[in-house]
Amino acid sequence: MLSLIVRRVLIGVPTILGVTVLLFLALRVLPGDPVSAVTAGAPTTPEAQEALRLQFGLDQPLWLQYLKFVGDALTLDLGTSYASRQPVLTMIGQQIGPTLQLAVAAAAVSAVAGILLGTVAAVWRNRWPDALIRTLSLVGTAMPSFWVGLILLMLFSFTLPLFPATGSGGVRALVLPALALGLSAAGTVTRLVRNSMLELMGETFVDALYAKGLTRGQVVVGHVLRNAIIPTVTIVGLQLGALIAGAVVVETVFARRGIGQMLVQGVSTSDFPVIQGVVLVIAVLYVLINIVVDVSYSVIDPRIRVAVGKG
Amino acid sequence: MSIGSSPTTEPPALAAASHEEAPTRETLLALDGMTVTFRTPAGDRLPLVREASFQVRSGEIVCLVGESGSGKSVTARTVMGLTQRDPAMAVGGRAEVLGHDIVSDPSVTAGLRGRDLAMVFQEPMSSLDPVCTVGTQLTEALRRRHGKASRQAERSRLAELLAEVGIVDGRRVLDTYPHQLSGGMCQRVMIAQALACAPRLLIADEPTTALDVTIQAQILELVDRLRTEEQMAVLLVTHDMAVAAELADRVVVMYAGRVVEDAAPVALFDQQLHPYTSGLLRCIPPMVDERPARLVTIPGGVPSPAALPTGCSFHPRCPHSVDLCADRVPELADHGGRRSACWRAEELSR
Ligand SMILES: Nc1ncnc2c1ncn2[C@@H]1O[C@H](COP(=O)(O)OP(=O)(O)OP(=O)(O)O)[C@@H](O)[C@H]1O
Ligand code: SF4
Ligand SMILES: [Mg+2]
Repeated sequence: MLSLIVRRVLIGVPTILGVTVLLFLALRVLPGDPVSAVTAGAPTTPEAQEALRLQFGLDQPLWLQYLKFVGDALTLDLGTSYASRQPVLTMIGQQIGPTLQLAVAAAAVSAVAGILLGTVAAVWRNRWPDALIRTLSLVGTAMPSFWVGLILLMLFSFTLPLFPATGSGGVRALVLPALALGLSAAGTVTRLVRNSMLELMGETFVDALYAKGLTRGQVVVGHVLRNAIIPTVTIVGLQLGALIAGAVVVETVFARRGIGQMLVQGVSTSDFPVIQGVVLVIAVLYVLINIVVDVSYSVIDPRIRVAVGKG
Repeated sequence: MSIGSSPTTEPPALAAASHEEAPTRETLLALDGMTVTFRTPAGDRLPLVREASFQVRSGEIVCLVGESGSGKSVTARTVMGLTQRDPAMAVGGRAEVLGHDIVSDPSVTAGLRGRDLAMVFQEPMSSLDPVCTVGTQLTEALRRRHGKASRQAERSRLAELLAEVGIVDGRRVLDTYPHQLSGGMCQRVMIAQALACAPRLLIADEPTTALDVTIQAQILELVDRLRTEEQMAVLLVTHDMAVAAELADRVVVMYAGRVVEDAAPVALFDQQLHPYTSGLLRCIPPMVDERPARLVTIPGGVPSPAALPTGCSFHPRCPHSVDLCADRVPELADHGGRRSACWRAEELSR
C-alpha cells in the first residue's frame, strides 16, 4: 500500500513541474505586462515602472525567477499578488472553499446521473431508452460546460425563476452551476457504466445468479451494478481533478466566488503570482486526487484489497 | 416375498423396500424435439441444439455425454431458461420443465429457479460474483427457498451445507471472496448453493471436473443419496463414462447438437447402436494419475454449427458410413426401449 502511494507521488512530481514550467514560460512570452497593468490609469514615470519591475523580480533571468518560484512554493510561499499586495496563498485559502464545493457537487451530479442513466441504458439495451441516453451522453460530452450553464440559466433562472442566476450563497445557488459542470461530465460516466454492465451481464456468474432464483432487479442492482461501481468510482474520482479546473469556467458564467474568478482577474491584470499560484494549486490537487483514487480503488475492490494487503 | 408370510402380516420393512423399488416416477424434464438456434450478427441462424428429445424423471440420474461443442451446455442452460436471456437465441419444439412449457413461456423458469430447479455451472471459477463474499451469495440462495432467518441460524445452516460438500472449515469460507478460493472450492460452493434450495430437478454441468477423486466421490455420493432419499431428478453433464456407468439410469449421447443415442448404461456399454457412442467408449481414457483425462477424440472434430455436414452429421468421421448417410438425416428411432439415430443401427448391432 505504502509503495503504491510512493510510486504515485513519484509520477506526480514531474507532472506538476511540467505544468509550472510551461505556464511560467507562457506567461512571460505571451503579451501582457504586469507593470503597466498595475499602474494602469495612474500617471507614472519610467523610473517608477523600473522600480516596480525590480520589486516584482522581473529583471532577473527567467531560470532564476523560476527557481525562486519553485523554492518559495516548497516552503508554501506562493508570492504576493501584484494587484492586491496580499499573499497569494492567503487569497487562495479564502477562495478555494466555494470552488471545492462546486467541484464535489458536480462530481456527485456526474456520478448519480451517470450511474442511473448508464444502468437504464444497459437494462434496456438497444431499445429506445438506450438510444435516447446514448445520444444524450454524446451530446452532453460534446457540449462545453459554460454552454450547458447558459442553457440552464435561461431555462431555470430567467424563464422559470427557480434558482438564482448568480451568487455563491447557499445550496440553491449551487444547484445550477453543479448541474452545468456535472452534466457535461456525466456522459462519460454513463457510457462507462452502461458498457461495463453489459460486459458483466454476459459473465457466467450472472447466469448463476439468475439460476439461484434472483430477480432481474436483484441481479442488476445487487450484483451487476455493484461490480460496475468499481471502475465508476475511479472515473468519477479522476473527473474530480478535471472538475476543479472546469469550475473555473463555470464560476465565471455564474459569477460565483472561487479560485476561478481569482484566476480570471489575475489573467486580466497579468498578475503572475496569482495565475501561477492558482494553476499550481489545481495541478497539485489533481495529482493528489489521483493518488487518493488509486488507493481507494484498492480498498473498494476485494480482489485488489487482498493482493495489496498480502504484498 | 417368502412363501410362508401371509399378506396381512407383511413386515413393515418389506413394505418400505417394495415401495422404494417402484416409487411413482414423475417426469420432471421432458424435451421433445427441442431446438435452439443462434442468430449471428450477420443474420445466419445456427442450430446449436437440434430436435433434442429425452426425459428425466424424479429419482433418476440421466447423464448427458458427448465431445466438446456437441451442445450439452446449451441444452442445460436452455432448460434453466438462461439461453433465452439472449435475444439472439430462439428455442423451438417442445420442452417441459417440472410440468411447465418453457418454450411458449420462458418466463416460467424464473419462478422455478432456486426453488424446484437448480444448476451447477461448468466454469466454477467464474460462477461466483467476484465482489461478494461466499456467505452473502449462499445466503441469497438459502433465503430464496426458506425466507429470512436469524443470521446465526443461516450461518450454521450454510456451514452444514458446506460440510456436506466436503468443506470442513465452512464458517471461514463463508467470509472469503471467490478469488481467494481454488477452483475445486468454488465448485463445491456452487454445488452447495444449488443444493441449498433442495431442488426437485438439478442440472449439473460437469460438476466435478475441478475436484480430486476423493471429493468427487463424496459429491457424487451426495447426489446419489439425494436422488434416492429425496427423489431428486438429475441431468448430469459429464465427460466421465465411468461416472455415467456407475450412476446413470440413462445415458443420452449428443453429437453436433443432436441426440444420437439414448439407453440404459448397462445396455449401452454392452452394445452401442451408434458408431459415435462406440467411438466415445473406445476413447475412455485410463485413469491417469488421480483424475481421468478428458475424452480423447475420435479422429476429426465436432463440426461447428455453422458448417454442419449434410445427412448424418457424423458421416465424415464414421467408419461405417454409406452413401445414404451423407444424403439423409437419420431419425432418432426406437430400438426396443433404447434409441439411436443411425441408418445402420440394426445392421451393426447384429
Ligand atoms: N452463447 C452462445 N452463442 C453462440 N454460440 C454458442 C453459444 N454458446 C454455445 N455456442 C455454440 O454452441 C455449440 C455447443 O456448445 P456447448 O457449450 O453446448 O458445448 P458442450 O457440449 O457443452 O461442450 P463442452 O464439453 O466443451 O462443455 C458450440 O459450437 C458453441 O460454439
Ligand atoms: S448414419 Fe451412417 S454415418 Fe451416421 S453414424 Fe450411422 S453409419 Fe455412421
Ligand atoms: Mg459445456
